[in-house]
Amino acid sequence: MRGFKFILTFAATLGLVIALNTKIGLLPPLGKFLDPFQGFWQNAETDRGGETATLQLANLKATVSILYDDRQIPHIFAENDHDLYFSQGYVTAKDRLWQMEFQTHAAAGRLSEIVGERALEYDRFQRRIGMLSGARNTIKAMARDVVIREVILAYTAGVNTFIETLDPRDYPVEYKILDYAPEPWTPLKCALLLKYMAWMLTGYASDLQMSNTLARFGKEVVEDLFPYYPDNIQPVIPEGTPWNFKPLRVKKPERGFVAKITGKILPYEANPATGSNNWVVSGSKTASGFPILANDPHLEMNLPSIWYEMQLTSPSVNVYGVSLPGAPNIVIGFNEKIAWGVTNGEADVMDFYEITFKDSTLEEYRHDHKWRKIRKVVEEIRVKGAGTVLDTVIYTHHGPIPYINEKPFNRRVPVLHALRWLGHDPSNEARTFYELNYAENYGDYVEALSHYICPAQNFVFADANGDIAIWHNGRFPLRWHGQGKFIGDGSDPLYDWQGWVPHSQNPHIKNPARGFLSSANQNATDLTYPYYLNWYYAPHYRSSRINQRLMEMEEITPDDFRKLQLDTRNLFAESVLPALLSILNESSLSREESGMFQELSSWDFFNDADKIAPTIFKNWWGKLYDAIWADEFGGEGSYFRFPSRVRTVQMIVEEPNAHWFDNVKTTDVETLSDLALTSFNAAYSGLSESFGDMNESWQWGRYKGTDIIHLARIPGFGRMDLDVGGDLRIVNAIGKTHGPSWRMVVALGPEVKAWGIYPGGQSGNPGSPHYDDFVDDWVEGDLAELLFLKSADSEHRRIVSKLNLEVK
Amino acid sequence: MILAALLIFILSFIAEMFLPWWSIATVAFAVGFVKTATGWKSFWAGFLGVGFLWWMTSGTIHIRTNGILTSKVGEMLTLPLPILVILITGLVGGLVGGLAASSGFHLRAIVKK
Repeated sequence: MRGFKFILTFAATLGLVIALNTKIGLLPPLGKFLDPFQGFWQNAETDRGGETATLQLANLKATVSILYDDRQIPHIFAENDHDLYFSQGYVTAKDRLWQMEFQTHAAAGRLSEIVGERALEYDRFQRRIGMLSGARNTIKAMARDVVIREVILAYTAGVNTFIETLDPRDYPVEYKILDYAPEPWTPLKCALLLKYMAWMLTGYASDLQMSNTLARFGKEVVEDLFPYYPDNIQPVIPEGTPWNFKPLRVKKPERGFVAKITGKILPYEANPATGSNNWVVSGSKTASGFPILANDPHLEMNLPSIWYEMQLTSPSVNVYGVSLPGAPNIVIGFNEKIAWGVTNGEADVMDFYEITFKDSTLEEYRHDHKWRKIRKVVEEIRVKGAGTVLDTVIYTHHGPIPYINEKPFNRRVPVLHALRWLGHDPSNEARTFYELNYAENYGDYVEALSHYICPAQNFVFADANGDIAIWHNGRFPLRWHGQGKFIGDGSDPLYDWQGWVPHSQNPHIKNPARGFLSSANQNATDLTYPYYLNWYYAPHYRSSRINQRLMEMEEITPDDFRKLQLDTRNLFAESVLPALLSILNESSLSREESGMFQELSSWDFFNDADKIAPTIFKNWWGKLYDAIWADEFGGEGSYFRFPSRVRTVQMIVEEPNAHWFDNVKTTDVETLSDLALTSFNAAYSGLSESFGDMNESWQWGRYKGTDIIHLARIPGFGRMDLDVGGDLRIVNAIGKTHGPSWRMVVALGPEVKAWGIYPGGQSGNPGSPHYDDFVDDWVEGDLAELLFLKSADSEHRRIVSKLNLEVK
Repeated sequence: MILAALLIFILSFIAEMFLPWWSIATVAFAVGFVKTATGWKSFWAGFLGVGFLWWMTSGTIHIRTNGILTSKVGEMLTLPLPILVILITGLVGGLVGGLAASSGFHLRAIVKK
């Protein structure tokens, strides 16, 4: 009896301890996690500040002093460059270790190691698009550059020195939730992070949808609905800028290739919410007489933020700005002499090729009238709790074949698609950022840009000498006009990329007569530029509004630029709403609908948080757009590209009798006016069903409810339902989940001054007051004055704490 | 029982400085073996000893940090009130401590016989 009681209680104790030490489903291992001595409680912090800490570290050459200001920005003062990048790695890891590792695991297709089988498909995808092999190519290129190799190694040593100091109780809380431990940092992870960014900004192609659209609707329709150069565009390099160079020749195939219609391969859709603004004005337009530069990259907004703000100082460099946790240097920022910012270039650097195999063994494929051998790469994906999964990826000389489960059209001649992406190539973007950090003038900036490959960006520039410039910069494949708009012929060498546009011939302009430059992801150049880069860019709404304002503005101050970043004028609505209201048959509206009509009629086209009209317009437009196109382009099993918003607006305003307005699925002939009315009715029903008749909850900011979610989507760890204006395609591009991830304004001059903010906080720890302490100010539209120190002045009134790293 | 609970409280506190969280089970088991009178008393000694240790520690951290992480974790665990995170913390620790202590007592009962 007594023995039985012992066995019972002992087994129960053991069972309970094991259960509480194990991660079950999405729940963390509860005993380990709730333990107040080593679990999540240990991650709860109070405000830092007022402290001076000294650490003795191996691998340092001299003492480094790190001053933290009242916004928790580290200002690193090192006596040599090795110690500088070592310290950058160290302090970044101190605040952001989990994020650094998670993002690079995500890039490498290693999430299954952390979360198990539910990430397997994602990981397989990452391997199949060649992320890991691209990063490996890149790390080789970095290693050949003696300067960058040392920078990366010092940064890596700094991160690892931090990791070594950690006891399990100190692990960032996400490790405790997901129940794993940090692994050593490696240079490959720096490369993976850069490829992750490249994928985010260039990892899309509509070749497949365009090919299907061409096969289904024919050349004429495609040329009409998907033009090479859109209406109303003001390109980044102003129209009429001469090209003073002799372009390289590109050979074009004589026969046009039409790819077979294919089922869904992969949704490589561009995310319209990813974009950015930047602009610069010369001293002729500013109150100070010196240039002012602004930049706000629009990315998915997460906690922890994609950006980490810092100042890096050594005897050879003094630079301030935002860095990407996991990569050395400052990516967007300024030093005493220059300032720079970036927007995505949107050039097409991802193409699909139709590959014809010899037989179903998929061992050989046709190219240039010969059979070429494929290369097989076996990817090992470790899955938590389920061993290792092997996945064989087939590579052609174009690149990998991401999807082989696609149903072949002809069993004897299987047709698959190979992916050519510039991200597969060796590259050394770190060199560009490194040189920009040290740059003193326009010449240094151009030299820095010459090393840059992918993702292509519009690099805006200003310096204290008064020069302003913009380069549409990256490596651009040499292609004939239109190449890559549709799926290419993988067997014809003339469809391969035939080389590169020489760097000096990349679109650029310095000191334009009009005194300002801007970019907002629109077309880089007009049609006179001798190379073909892409056919589809962001619509003109943001860029037109920015240029319109910059044209009008004089005696500009930095605060004027802050206001311009917050501008919510909706040029898209302005371009189409008057036409829609004029054709809407008012007499057939209900009383409630008439109220909506009034709201729209009196709207000033600003998407402010407290207005109702933006909500009505967005809903109406969404239903109308679907009503116009879904009958032809949508539906089950189809995979066509829908015509753009700009083209649709043009049709509504200029071609109101176009046959596209008729719903081909009905026997009646619908007109634009019919669609306008039914979609307006539908917008009313949709809104009133969700929120009741028109009331405060229809207000734009509340309706949109911007969410800044946790990077691993952990509930409770984000900032949800922020009541804030703006929208995609508006200068203040705050959408539901994407938006200005960093706002910066820099005033050049004898003493550079700068302002900035990002929707997050310096600490990556959800248990820190500095996890999200910038968010409220960001919502308000405030910018913080950035503290740019000339020396390690620890007595400065804004310095709140100090960390000394000493040689061990 | 009070003395045993106090012992478990103090020894668990010390053990947790150096050892993983499940060291509380070892401590409660040992104290249950050496220091308690009945099965139920040993359970309560373990439950209260570890439970109070975890309640007090988590409660102190909660107050000191204005509950900055308590509410987030509460939301993650889909609990209606953040304070329940503290309650559950103590309950989990207490349950492990209680079972371990009573198991220790029952072992002694065999050994003594």
